[in-house]
Amino acid sequence: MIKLKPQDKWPPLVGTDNIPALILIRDTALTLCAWLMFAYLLRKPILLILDYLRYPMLELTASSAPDWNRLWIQLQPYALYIGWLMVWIMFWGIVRRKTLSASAPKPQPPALTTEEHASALNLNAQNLRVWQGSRNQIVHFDEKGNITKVTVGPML
Amino acid sequence: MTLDWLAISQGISAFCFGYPFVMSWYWMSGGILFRLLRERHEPLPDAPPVLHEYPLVSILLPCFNEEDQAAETFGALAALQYPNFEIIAVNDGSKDKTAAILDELEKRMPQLRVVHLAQNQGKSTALNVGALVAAGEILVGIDGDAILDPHALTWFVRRFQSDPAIGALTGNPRIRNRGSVLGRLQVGEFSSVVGLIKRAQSTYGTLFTVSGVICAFRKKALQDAGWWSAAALTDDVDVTWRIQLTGWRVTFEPKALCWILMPETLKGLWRQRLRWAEGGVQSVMEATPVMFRSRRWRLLPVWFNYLISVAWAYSMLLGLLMWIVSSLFPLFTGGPLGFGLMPQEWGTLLALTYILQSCVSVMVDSRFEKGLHSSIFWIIWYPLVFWLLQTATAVLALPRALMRPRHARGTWISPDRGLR
Repeated sequence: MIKLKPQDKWPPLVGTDNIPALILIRDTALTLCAWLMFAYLLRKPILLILDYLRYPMLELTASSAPDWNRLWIQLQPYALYIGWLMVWIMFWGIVRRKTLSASAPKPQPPALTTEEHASALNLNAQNLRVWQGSRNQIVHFDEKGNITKVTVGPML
Repeated sequence: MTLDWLAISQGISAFCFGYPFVMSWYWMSGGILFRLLRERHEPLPDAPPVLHEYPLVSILLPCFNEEDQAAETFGALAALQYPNFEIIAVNDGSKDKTAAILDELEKRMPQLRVVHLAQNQGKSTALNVGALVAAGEILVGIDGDAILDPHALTWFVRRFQSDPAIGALTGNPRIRNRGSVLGRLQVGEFSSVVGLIKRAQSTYGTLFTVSGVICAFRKKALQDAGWWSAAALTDDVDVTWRIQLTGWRVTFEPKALCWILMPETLKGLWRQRLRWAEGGVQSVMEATPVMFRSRRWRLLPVWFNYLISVAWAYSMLLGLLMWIVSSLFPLFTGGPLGFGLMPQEWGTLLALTYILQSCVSVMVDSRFEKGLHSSIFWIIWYPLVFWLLQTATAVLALPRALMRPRHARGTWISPDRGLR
């Protein structure tokens, strides 16, 4: 007999209890190395920021300022695209703000009837009603995947 | 001749940097906007308001060899805080003890109804059969290994009730397994990529896909769309496009939470992502002529973005190949071309932007999960390594989807469910 397992803690996260310590240490060490590598790639801007923040504040003493003008020229086309897309998404946000923030109930579209559902699949609506009332059933198919018959379950 | 190759190389490099860089800022702004317009004044996920009506909701639960997960999945379903629901468990020809477990549970759980498919038919057919026997107008689809949040149904129903034009909703899948670096990385990925993209697309009004692991539909919308396609490799992408092509809206309900298991082996992850990528190509290929014929221009930006993303994956491959060839034969190519795997100035700026995107997503998503900020530590793998997997799957997926027989059944075996 199967015993249901209601979650005694929420959220139901699967932690590291069953993970070998070696894997945890390996993962942490590798990730730290990845961050160190990333910091190495960023060493020039990091040193620049540190220089700016050192006494005398906001002045460069150990390094020279990058060519901001050249950087801006290189980034300008991308900045333009970003600007356009931000305007685009803000436009739609404004246009759709009422729909987006809607929370009050509104009249609902009509529900799908059993007849409509059955006719779309070439099934008998009467049969479909029986299936919708059954608690356990077995569905059989032909080789093309069409339903051939439905019998009352259980399976075993 | 050499100059031409240099210009091509520069163009490819600019596109490979520019596309994710520009889109990252777009996703961030769209995500923040959705937070401001929709989520800011909303109650917390565990405190839903009282609804004026609680219509019958049918939960569709396709099960294929789920004997190990059944106790947890049904344990969570038994604890749902919604007064009027039924569970339709569809045993899709399982080879393990799933059938016996479901038959036994059916006797003990008054809300549970069981349908056995005599042979394995695939998820789409299982969902179609489940919908056929479901009595509710609102269908909620979850996977056989998912843990549904107690209040998820209330949030779905409330969103449907607030907008009659909505035909489908996608919930907010959260990763359960965080034992290995792959699991932890996907926690960040689901927030910073999946969550932000869904928010931005919802702000605009069309979605690329619902998450098959947690989604909700009006039966009427599914009927208009022609139900789930048995040939679809990704039933969720396919049905999302077809629902939107019939004029129904699809949007994101972030408070409808569902806790899911993701693969934690490289092999499992590769198989899953390759299927997702192939299914994406297949679905978009099917939807494209219909979109132009029916003039559903609202889908055009999502469609266009998808095309660019595929072109980007191929450009990445081309850039890498150029770099390899020019490194091996510098005299032939006249100097270095393309780009290597080690990020240089622009690559580092891109990685930095992605980390910023992760920080924004943690800020936006923090109300759904405490301690999410710790995922930032592991996210470093995404810009350094993980994109390689995504690119490789996207490159492989296109020819696979093109060569796939049109009516071949979309059946697959689920990947591993993580280290537990």
